[in-house]
Amino acid sequence: MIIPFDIILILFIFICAIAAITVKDLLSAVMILGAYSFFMCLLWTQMAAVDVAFTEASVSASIGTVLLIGAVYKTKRRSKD
Amino acid sequence: MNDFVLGHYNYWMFIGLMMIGFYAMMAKKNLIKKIIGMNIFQSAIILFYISTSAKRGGVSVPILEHAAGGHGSHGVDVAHYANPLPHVLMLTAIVVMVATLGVAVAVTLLIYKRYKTIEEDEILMKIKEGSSAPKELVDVRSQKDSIKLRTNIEYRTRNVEL
Amino acid sequence: MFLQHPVLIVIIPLIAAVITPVLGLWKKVLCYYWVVFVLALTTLASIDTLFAVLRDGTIHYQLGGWPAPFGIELVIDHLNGMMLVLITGISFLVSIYSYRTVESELPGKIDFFYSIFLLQVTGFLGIVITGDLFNLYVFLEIAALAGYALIAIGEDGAPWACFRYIVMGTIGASFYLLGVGYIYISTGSLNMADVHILLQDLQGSKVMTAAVAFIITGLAVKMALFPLHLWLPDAYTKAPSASSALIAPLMTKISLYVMIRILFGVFGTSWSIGMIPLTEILAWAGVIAIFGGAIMALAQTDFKRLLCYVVVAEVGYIVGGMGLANEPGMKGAILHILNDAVMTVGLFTVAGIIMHRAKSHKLSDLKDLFPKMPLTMTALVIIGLSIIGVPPTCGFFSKWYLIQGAVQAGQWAFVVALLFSSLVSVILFFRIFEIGYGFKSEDHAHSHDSGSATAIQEAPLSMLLPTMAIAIAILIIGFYNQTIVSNLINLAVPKL
Repeated sequence: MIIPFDIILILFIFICAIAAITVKDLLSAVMILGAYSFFMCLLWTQMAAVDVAFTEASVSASIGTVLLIGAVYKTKRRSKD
Repeated sequence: MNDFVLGHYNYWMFIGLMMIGFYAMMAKKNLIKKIIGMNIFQSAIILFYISTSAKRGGVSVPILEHAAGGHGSHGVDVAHYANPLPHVLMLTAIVVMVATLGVAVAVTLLIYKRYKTIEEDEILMKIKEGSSAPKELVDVRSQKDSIKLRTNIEYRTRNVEL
Repeated sequence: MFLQHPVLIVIIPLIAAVITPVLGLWKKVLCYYWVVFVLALTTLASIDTLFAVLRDGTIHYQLGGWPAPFGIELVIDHLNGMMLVLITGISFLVSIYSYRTVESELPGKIDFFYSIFLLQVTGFLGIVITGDLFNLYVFLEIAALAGYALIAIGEDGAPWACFRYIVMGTIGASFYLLGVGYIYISTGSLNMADVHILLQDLQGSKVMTAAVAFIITGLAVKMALFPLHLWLPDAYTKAPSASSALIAPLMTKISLYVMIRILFGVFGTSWSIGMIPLTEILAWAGVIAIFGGAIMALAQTDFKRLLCYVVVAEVGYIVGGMGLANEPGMKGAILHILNDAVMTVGLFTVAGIIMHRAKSHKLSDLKDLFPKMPLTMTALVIIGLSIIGVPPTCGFFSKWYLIQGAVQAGQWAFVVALLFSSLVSVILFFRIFEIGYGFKSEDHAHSHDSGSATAIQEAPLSMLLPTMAIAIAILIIGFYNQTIVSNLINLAVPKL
C-alpha cells in the first residue's frame, strides 16, 4: 500500500462524503455520490481488491447513480436542507 | 498514540464514514439525502472488510498465474497475495447495497406521488392534518386524456388536408 | 432424494418465485394455486426433515460437497427443525388465506405479490436453516427486501411507514454485518460451529465484546426490542392484510432465533453469562419491553395497531426468558417462540377478515361483529384467551415455564412484568369482546353502520378455514404441550 496515495484518496473520499450530504441541489449531490463511489474503487484497487473495485464501479457507481438520478428527475431537484 | 491513530487508520476512516452516513440518515430531512446517507453507511462497512484483506508491502492481486496443486507441485505462498475471502463476501454486500438503494428509490417515488413532497417535515404535517385523497389516479387519467385529445385533433386536421 | 431435503426446503420456493410471474401471464388465478402447491410441498419437506432430526440427531448438509470450514453448511438440529416447520406451516396457511384479500386490496397485481411472497418465505427459511454467519446476512437481506416491497403496497400511509422501516432495517442488518466482520478478523472463520471452537481461546477480548454488542444491537432493531420498535406499529398496520399476516408473526421470531443461535451457539454460555453480564441486560430489556408494549397497547384505538403493540410485548417475554439463563427460562422462551408465532398469525388473519368484510380496522368499527361473524370471532376469543394465558390454550404453558424460570433465577421484576402483561391483555381483549358483542353503547351513534351492517357476513371459506385451523392448533399445542416439550424443546434448549 503506497501510503501517500492512500492518504490523498482518503481525503478525497471524506470530502466527497461530506459534500454529498451537504449540497442542497440534489442532482449535484447524486453526482458527488457517484464520484465518491469511484474514489472508493480507486482505494480498493490500491488495496489489491481489483474484483471488488470493478464490481463497485459497474454496479454501484453506474447503476446506483442512474437510479438516484431517475429519482431526482421524477421528484424535486432542490432540497430544503 | 502514534500507533493508535496512524497504525489503525483504516479503522478510523471507516468509522468516520459510517458516522457521516448515519448522521445523514437520521438528521437530514430530505428523503434522497437519507438514501445517500444509507449508501455511504453501507459502503463504509464494505471498506472495512476490504481493508482487512489488504497487506503491507505491495502484495499482488489474488490471481494465480499457473494453476497450483496436483502432483505435489509447489503450493501457493499466501503471503504474496491479498486475502480473497473478504472480496467474495463484499461482492454480495455491494449487490445488496444497490438492491436496497433501488427499493428505497421506488418507495420514495410512491411517497412523492402521494404527498407531492419529499421533505420529511412536510410529509409529517400532511399526515397529521389528514391530507386529501390520493390523487395519482386522477393525474394519470387526465394525462392520458390530454394525449388522446391531441391525437384526435391531429387525425381530424390530416383528413381535412387530404 | 431424501438426503437433499435440507437444500430443497430453500430452493423450491426460490425457483417457484421466479416461475410465478410467468404463470401469471397466462391466467392470474393460476398463481394462487401454484403458490399453495409449492408451499404445501415445502411444508411436507420440512416436516419430513423434522422427523429425521428427531430420529437421527443433527443433520449437517454441505452445499456443493465442500467440507465444513471451507464451504457453507446447512445445520438442522431440534431448534431449527421446529422453526422450519413453524415457518412453512404458517406461510402455507397464510397463502391459502390470502387470495381474497389480495384480490380486493391489490387488484391486478396478484402475480407479482405472490412472487415476492415466495421470496419472503425463501428468505425466512434460509435464515433459519443456515450454519454460516455471512450466509445468514445474505438471507436476512433477502427477507428484509421482500418485506419492504410487501409492506409498501398497502393502504394510505404505507410507503412512508415502509421508508422508515427501510432506514432502520438497513442500520440493523449493517450492524450485524459489522459484528460478523469483527468475528471474522479475530477467528478467521465464518462457520458457526468452527467459530464456537475458536472463540474458546479468545476469552476477554475487546474485539469480541464489540462484535457481540454490534450483533445484538443489529438484531434488536430487526426484532423490535422496546426502544428500537418504532418502525413496527406503522409498518404492520398499514401493510396489506396478507403481508402483515405473513411478516408479523415471523420476522421478529426469526430474529430472536438468530439471537439465541449466536449468543448460545456461537459465543457459548461461558462467554455470554460469564464475561459480559449479557443475560442481566437481556432480562431487564425484556421487562422494559413488556411494560412498554402493554402500556402503549392500552392507548390504541385501531385494532391492528393494538395487535402490533401486543407483538412488541411478546418479544419482551422471549428476550426476558433468554435473559434468565436457566433451563425453565430457556424452555419457556423457545416454547413461547412457537406459541407466539401461532397466536400472532391468528390475530392478524382475524384482523384481515375484519378488514375484508367491514372495510376498516378501527376498534369502533368492530361494533356488533360477533353475531354476524360467529366462527371468526370464536377463533378470536380462543386466541385472545391464549394471549392472556388461560389454561388449556398454549399461551398458559409458556408463561408457566417463564415464571418458573424467573422465580428460580430471582428476577422478581420479570415475574411482575409477566403478571402485569396478563392483566393488560385481559383488559385489551375483553374490551374488544365488549365492543364486538355490542354491550357498550357508544356516544357517537354510527349512522353509517346501518348501511354497511347488512353487508357484513361470515368470512369467505378460503379465509375462514385457515383461521379456524390456527385456533384449533392453539388448542392442540396446549393439550399436547407435554409431548412437544419433552420430545422437541428439551433437546432444543442450548446447554447451559
